Amino acid sequence: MAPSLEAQFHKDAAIKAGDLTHRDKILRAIGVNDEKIEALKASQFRDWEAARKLAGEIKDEAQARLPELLESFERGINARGGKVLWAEDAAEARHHVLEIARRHNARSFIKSKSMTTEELDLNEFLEGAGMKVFESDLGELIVQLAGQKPYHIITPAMHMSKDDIAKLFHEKLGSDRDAGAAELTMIARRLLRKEFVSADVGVTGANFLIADEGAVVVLENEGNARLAMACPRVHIAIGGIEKVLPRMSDLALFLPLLSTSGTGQQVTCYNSIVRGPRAEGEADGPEHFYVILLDNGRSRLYGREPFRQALRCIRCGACLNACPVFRAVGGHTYGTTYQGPIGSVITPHLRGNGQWHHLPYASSLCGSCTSVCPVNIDLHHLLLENRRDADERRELGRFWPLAMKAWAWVMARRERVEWAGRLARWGEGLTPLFVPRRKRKRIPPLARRSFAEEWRRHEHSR
Amino acid sequence: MSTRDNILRRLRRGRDGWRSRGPSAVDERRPDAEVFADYPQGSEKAVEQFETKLAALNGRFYRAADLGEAARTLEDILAPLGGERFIAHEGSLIREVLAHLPELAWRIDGEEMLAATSDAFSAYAAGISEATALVARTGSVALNSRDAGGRRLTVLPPIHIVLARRTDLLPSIDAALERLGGDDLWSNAVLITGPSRTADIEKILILGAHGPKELHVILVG
Repeated sequence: MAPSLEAQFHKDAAIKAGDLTHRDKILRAIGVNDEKIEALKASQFRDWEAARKLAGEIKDEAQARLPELLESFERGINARGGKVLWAEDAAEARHHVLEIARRHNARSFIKSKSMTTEELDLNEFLEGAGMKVFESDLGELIVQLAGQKPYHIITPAMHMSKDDIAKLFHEKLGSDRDAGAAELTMIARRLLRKEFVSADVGVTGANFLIADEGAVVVLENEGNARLAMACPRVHIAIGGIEKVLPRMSDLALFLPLLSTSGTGQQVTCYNSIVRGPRAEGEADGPEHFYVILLDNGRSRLYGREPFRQALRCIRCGACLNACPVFRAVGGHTYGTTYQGPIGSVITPHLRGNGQWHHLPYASSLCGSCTSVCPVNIDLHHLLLENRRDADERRELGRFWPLAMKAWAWVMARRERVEWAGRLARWGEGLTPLFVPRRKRKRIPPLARRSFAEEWRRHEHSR
Repeated sequence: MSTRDNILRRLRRGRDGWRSRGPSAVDERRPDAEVFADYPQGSEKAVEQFETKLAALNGRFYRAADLGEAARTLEDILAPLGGERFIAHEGSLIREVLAHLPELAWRIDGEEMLAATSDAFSAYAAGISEATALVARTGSVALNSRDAGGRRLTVLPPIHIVLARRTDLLPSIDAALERLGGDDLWSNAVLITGPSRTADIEKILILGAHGPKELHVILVG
């Protein structure tokens, strides 16, 4: 039998936490980002706290009006010749994609970065259906070639050094073993340019869905999403239903907000706004434009207070970077599409199969995630709520209820607390027997006297 | 019942169970000038800020007093490209500028090639398009697929040259969005902020990932 997800998490976490090379790479990557982001928050925003509060309020408005805004979005897209398709889950979304491919005799796909498509395992599915699929974002291409999943929602290959990537490209693409970052980027450019000009279908994600105009907004830096919506005959944009913003003008705040928190840029290089397929009188553009709106557990989360707040998330990755647990155990350990604090908040609800209740415990509840979130999600409190949720479902066994009763009994009277303290000091030498070696924790020695004893001595000597 | 109806019904039912719905609309948006500390003040400051921001992003900015100077600037940008061919969208500003460059005109393809195959498109060394707006605060260029010659012109050629009039220079993204939103005809718009880039390998900045390696902006007037 395969180990449970929880056992696997503990195993992987222990390995990664002890891997100092891994930690080095991650801390360097995050450190570079952190400095840029903090400087930019200060120089760009009059009041960063006010800006993120406003962003949270706009997202709350979008949530309060979500069904109506989705209908408005759909009307807008359909009015310009696009088509909106709805998907209950990953299977239905995959089915839509394949149907579209068959309808238009498509054989080849070029994809730009999209975490939503990661929920679908779209690449594996399309390849299984005999299609050719290329990831075109450099980081995504790297993990695709390595046969891995993205390590981080914004920086998929954060865990690989230049040298790791040069070696990978050397093995898979026959490039020079010592290629530098510029050379590796140009290899990817040349390889994918051929695919861009010949692919039948371009697939992009959707960072925002604009309800009043009926538009899909895609942010990126490389130009690959732009190519994916410019060259192929068919463009499919896949977005979660929570990505809605009420008004086009909301982008004036959300574009800089997402870029600042995600990559430390004022705005990313390309922010595309798509209202439809090629319009009359335009030189080029796809003949067909589809938007797949994915639920996949989101409507369940939407109906659950207080967790629905997590649907504000704009997937900037700031909470991952800030999280001491993410930094120690790394992105792959989570085993989820969305890693770090936000992943640990939403995954147990989105998957809804009771197998992810260990995730909220992968947190020190320090609140760093909450303090960096650009849409003001109270992440660490939601993690705590998730723990409560998990405990209500968890089979506790005999030990814990008994232990808690004993604790309550001791704590009820002052002198019992004193006695318990004396007992603990007496038995201190025995603790290594109870702490498994693999945890490698150093347990600080107990003070020789309790606070109360110290206090009494102090009083006497005065 | 369709998936669409199921999802919408589930959302409405979920919302009915909320403790409170909160405000139905955010109490009017705050103007950009109140949110952003680097909102440009005054029109000459705006030109300066656009130039500084674009330069910091490795883009190139040129200010031309008139059409003749814009033409000479364009000629200078294209000069190192020897025998290469270029593609342009013949918008009104570009037509006026190109009228000053009769000797270069034969190397610049126009409307009839904008719909060429992507393969043929890849042969062009530079694409020339017209901006809908320039954003001074961020150094961004706003383009729409109808007035800029389509979607590929902005991303396939390795060099992208954008022409803009003085009246196109706006202070903020908000103003650029308003101008874009006022036009009902385009299918695709983009805010371009510097040349294409990536930092996916050890956070090292590399220009020209999939899109243009060079972005030149000529402001006329």
